[in-house]
Amino acid sequence: MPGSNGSSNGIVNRIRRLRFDRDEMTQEELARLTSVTRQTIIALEAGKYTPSLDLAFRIARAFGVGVEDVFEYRK
Amino acid sequence: MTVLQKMAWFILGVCLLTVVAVIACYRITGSPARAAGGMGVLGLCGAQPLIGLRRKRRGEITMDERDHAIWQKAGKIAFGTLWVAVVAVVTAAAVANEKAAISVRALSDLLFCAMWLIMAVWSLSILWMCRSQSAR
Repeated sequence: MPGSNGSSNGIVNRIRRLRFDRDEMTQEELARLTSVTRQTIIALEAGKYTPSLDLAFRIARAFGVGVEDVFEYRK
Repeated sequence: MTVLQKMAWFILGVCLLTVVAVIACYRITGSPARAAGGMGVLGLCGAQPLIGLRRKRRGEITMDERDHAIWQKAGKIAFGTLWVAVVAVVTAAAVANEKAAISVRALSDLLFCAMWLIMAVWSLSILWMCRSQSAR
């Protein structure tokens, strides 16, 4: 997955890439759309936190894509 | 800084203030029993839910799923530490004291110290986990 950020449990995400593709959406904006704090978005982008299924769907919905377009399991 | 971090800093501040109060009480009264009255400062921890109230009223997110996960994990670390410490102190007291008699004073001091320890470890764990997860 190009432009992806990985975490230690094998789940990688493209949140940062998708944010920039959406007119450089800010972390604050994404946090507001997904009802989390900006620190959680920072942790997700850094691959330091794996979201719940619920949050994963909310993030995908915020970008208007499917979950598999945002997250990928690599193991 | 998230609301969770603010809460942790607040608790840590109260814990430090408690130590200062106990030392000050001991200096003033010269009695270890009366100095334990300084532990009453720990009661300020009850004001912790007030943190983030303004953000909540504005309709902002105060705690999300990551904060709750950190909160629970820190709680487990604090409880584990407390368990080990209390068992160690009680075992040491039982070994050192053949009659196995603990005074009411020592019991209340043990309770206060346990409360102090759990709050201090809890807040330090929260701050440590928040810091390790937010590395840019």
